[in-house]
Amino acid sequence: MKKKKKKKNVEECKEEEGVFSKLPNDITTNILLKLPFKSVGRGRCVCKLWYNILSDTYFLKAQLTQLSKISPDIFLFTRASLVTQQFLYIEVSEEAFKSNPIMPFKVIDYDFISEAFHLLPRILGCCNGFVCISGIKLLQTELPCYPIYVFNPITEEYSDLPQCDDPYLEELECGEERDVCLSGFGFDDSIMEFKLVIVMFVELGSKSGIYENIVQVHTLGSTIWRRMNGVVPDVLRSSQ
Amino acid sequence: MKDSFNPSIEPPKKTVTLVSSDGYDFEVEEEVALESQVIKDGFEDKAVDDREYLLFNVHSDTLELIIKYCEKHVSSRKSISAAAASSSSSNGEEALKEWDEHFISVDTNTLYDILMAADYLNIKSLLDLAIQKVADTIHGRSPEQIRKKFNIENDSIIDPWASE
Repeated sequence: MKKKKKKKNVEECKEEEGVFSKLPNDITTNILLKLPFKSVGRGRCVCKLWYNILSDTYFLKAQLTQLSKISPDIFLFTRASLVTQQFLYIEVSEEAFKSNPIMPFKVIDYDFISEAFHLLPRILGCCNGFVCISGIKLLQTELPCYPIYVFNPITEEYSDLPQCDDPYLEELECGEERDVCLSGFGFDDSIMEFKLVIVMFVELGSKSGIYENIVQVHTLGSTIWRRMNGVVPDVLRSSQ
Repeated sequence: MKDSFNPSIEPPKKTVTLVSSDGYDFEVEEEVALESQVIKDGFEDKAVDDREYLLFNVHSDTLELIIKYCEKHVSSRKSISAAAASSSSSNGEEALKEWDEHFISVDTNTLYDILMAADYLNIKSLLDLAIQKVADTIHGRSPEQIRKKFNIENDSIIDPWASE
């Protein structure tokens, strides 16, 4: 290319020093959106503007939407047996994963989990970097209820969900081997809500071969569980 | 009859003049300037002999970098598609990535200028590159290091050392 440089104006005013606080908010937001989950907490401490951006619901929604598209934090887990259960997760960019698919896996310190939850947790589901775990269907627990937690393995933060008082849960606990409990944890990005679904198949009477199913749905952030009866096709039970 | 159709239109000029905020003229090839969505949007509306753009927000030092970036990307795209057409193997994209990486490794103030210019001119790939660079720089630093690096005033309402 031809690049002619000619001075039109004698007055040369070098722009003042770039101060990042002067960036337009949408650029700052876009920068902060590229940060992995881990850095968000630290970013909040930088200044008021960053705190406001990082605490804004818009940002959280954008981050979740972005995560569901590129998922830099993917959770995998093995459930070979309750004792050797391990959480494995990938916490790097897609590119790094492509070039080296083995290295990014990290094993979460399992001792931390048993210590924090006083039990061997059952994983109810994983979604957008959060793991939903509980003590359901574990006879070893001496706790009076069946606590359910949402757990962020990166920050090791967790919060508990409202207790699910379904009598069938208790029955499941001491029930027949053939009773089945399915669960799922997911994120609905049209309404920006996390939901936890637990499906219980309970045999009516002993060895009747007839199962009833009860569905309990909890929307994170609410205080209630919604209960539905017999909405799940029985074929799901045998697929377990 | 075909020849007399619209005889007044000359073949389009191949260059465009970009004028920086401090009054320097940069004559660049049309397709290089069209990397900017803003210039592209206004391009068709402009008379052929008036293809001069006053970029009030872009200093000549920054504009020079931006033009360098756009030129590289225009030429790389051509060579990549040429390589694809002749089905010869090429690591053009890889090389371009490396070039980008090198290009964006600049000091904080320059990075800020590039960010602002890429936003102003709406050059998406460059804006993404610069944003990613800043994010990479932030990652793994303490709040104090971030403030120092980016010259951000400490008006934080959270004291990380305070007990909760």
